[in-house]
Amino acid sequence: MEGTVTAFGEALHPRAIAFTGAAQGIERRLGLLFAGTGIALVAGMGVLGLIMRLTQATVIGLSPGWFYRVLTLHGVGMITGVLLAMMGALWYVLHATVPLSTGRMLTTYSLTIAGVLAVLIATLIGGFGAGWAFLPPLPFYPAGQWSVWSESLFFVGNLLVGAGFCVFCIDVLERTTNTYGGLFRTLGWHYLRGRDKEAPPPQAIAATVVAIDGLISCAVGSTILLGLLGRTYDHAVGIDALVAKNLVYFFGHSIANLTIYLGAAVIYVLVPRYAGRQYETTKVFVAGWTGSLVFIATAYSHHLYMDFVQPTWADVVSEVASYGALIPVAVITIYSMTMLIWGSSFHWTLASTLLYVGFAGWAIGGVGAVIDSIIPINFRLHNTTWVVAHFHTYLILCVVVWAVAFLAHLLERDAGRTTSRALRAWTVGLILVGGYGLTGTWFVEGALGVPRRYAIQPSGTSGYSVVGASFALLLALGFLILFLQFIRLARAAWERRQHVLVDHFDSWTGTHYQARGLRADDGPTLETAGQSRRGVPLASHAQLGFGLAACIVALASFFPQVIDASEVSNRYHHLDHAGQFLLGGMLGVLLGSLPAVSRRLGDHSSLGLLAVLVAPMLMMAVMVPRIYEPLEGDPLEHALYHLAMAGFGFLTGLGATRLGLVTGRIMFALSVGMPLMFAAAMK
Amino acid sequence: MRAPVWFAACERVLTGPARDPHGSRGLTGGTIGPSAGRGSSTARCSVDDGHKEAADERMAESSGGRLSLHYGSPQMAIGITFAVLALLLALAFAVIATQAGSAVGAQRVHDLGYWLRKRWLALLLVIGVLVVGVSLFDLPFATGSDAGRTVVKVTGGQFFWSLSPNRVPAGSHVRFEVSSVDVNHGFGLYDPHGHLIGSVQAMPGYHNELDLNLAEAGVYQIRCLELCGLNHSTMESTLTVTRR
Repeated sequence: MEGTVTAFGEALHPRAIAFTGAAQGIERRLGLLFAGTGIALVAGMGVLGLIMRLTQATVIGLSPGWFYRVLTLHGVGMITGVLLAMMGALWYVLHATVPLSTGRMLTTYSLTIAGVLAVLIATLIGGFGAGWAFLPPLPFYPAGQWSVWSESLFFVGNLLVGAGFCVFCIDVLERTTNTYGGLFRTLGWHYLRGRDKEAPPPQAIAATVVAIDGLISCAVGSTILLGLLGRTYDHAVGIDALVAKNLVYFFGHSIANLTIYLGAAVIYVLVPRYAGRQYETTKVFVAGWTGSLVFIATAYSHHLYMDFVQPTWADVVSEVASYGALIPVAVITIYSMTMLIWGSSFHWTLASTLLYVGFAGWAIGGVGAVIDSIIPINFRLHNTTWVVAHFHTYLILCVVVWAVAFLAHLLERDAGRTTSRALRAWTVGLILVGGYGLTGTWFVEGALGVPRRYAIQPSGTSGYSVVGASFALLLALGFLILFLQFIRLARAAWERRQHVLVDHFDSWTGTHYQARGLRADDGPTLETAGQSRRGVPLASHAQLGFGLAACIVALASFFPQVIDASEVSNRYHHLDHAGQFLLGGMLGVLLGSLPAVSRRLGDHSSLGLLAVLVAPMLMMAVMVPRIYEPLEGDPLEHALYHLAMAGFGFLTGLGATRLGLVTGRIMFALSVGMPLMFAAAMK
Repeated sequence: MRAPVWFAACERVLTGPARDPHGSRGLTGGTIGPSAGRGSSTARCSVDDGHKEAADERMAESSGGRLSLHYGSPQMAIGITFAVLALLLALAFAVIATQAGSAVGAQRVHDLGYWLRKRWLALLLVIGVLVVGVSLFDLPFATGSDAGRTVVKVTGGQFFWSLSPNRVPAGSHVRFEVSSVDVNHGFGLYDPHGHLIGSVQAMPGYHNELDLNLAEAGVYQIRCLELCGLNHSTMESTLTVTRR
């Protein structure tokens, strides 16, 4: 035991030894890679943010065209940066108990970086400036600022980032449900009902919730992005602005929101290491995360309060969900973390201090968000800088702070020590003063009615921007001091990792002594432990019968009368495509679920993942009138096109069977939903 | 709601002098827009009602159609409520941080913490039911037919607002029928004092209807509240509410 305490050094609470294992090389490496890249991205985007604030303060003269390019890049880059860092952090804490795939994590990284590069080129070189929310049809009204290639590249970039997150979510969902015995067990529902005596660890439950909501968000996002990509190729494609807005905000809001919940899953593991008390799953915890599963997916509609044509019930549901989302956060996560900390002889280090600061950021930013989600209040604050204020509060002062806390945790563990108290005080002080000062000016401006996303501030309000920019400089100084401490810690960690004390014998004097020697590198482990078999989507005779019945119903999409009727409009035509996709998909699921076939197909989950990811996207990519209308003149080509729709479905269905019962079912259901949403949005 | 002296002073520093269209209301009394001086506003206040409207419009035009913004009463109430809640939270976190270093038995913390948590949950639920419940009685969505209302058709486009009619008599119950010819815009309406009194989105292919009672005469400013492209921040217009 003493040896391990020495390994922790001053980095963790002495009591943490009882429940903290040594981090494997691969966890550390991936953690450092994701957190390092994410934080570097956040830092770069922060500089862009400062440039915009200085422009609004009329200190520097960025033109409106450049302002909106920078604004767009800043938004996408920031969300992607914190997403990367938080994915790395979750992988780090989850990998100890769930055999996550290293290869898929590296795929996530590659896709995300490729996406960021595409957005970078689309904005800075291509001039794309429709905002990170790219509210359709704005991308197609460039006002002379960008060309078709840049808007296409922007959509592709977002698709890649979404695909990266999707791979991460599939891996997490597949591995957690396999490890803990199915979806209901992993979410703790069996434990809640008293069927199981033990529940999965908190981080596994939280990660599963994030993965499910993440997959839904990615499916929605891919749908609208592919629709818009098709619109760049065929300008005759119509867009239903209301449906498109719903899809865009479902995607954007949920992904941004999920970065915090990814962080929440991480703190259940990290904070106990400083409190010296383990965090246990309780029934209240399970109930709370079940609530979050629903609330995260239903709260987005508050972005559409001022679209009065949105059904009122949707607004009311959103208002209830937005407030409801507060309850698990306030009653479970933040509250129980403060309980954990209270009277624990808390071990204050750089990482633990930042983790604690993040709670306050989440709480205060969350209150600002909940206030804005009340419909009559939103009527007075909608799209003012109040919105900017509350999401920057919980993004900068919670998610970004947790991201750097995670990096600090890694470095401090490796270095076996923390930094000086004075430096920590300066760092946290500057981050708090600068951060809350910056967001505070937005809150005040929002109450004044200053609209957000203005390249040129309303007359007489630039003073706020001057004050805001000054606080932003303090915030930047705080992060700069933090990074200097990171460098010191990294040096210490390097020394500690590279060298070990080795026993030597001096043959001349006949004495034994110890000297520094190079440590043998443990090298990266490229693949982690395999996983047990996890079933197929249609696991019983009754379920196979259901699949067969669904195929028979979906066969109607090939009836000539139905195909003729669907020619009335693009929307109906797409609905018919969805039916054909369903038919092919169900056939694939049915076939792949048959025990004999399943055995022959073997455990090719990565191929399955590729199929469920790519096949639905390919189908929607060719659902463009300019592609399929020329084929309609020839009956054979027409029939082949529709068969291809079913073929994409077949590949998806077959691929889904390789992902197991839970993930396979969810992915197949989402892939069927995608063309339906596509039909609703593109007309 | 009358602003405290310190608040008005801060506001003057950050936004410039406040505007009072008729010399009798507003936070501090003052001018329209950045270019008009306090003296000229006072002088205009002495002219008769018929000339006031023209004067308001002239002032709006002379300032490039831009009126200074000022804190509305609801927004101030919201801001103060938030500030109080944020400070209470900050205080709570500071207290917890000071207690974190002490050594208290885990069981004792659990007993007290779980007892307190039930009450905390109950409190949040009660607040939620009250807040959400009350808010449902004050939804801004237009209901019923437009009978008895002055209908103003509002069309947004890159980068203009078209209003028909663009003058309505004071005291009108106005129904704004808002749409767009190209992209999404946000119709934000600011009263003659520069208070944001409401907003609704202008969405292509849809008509959003907003009902407002415009009791006060003067020049109301319209700003775009949804990113709509290059000149989003200068997409402005005005609606004149005339005296009856």
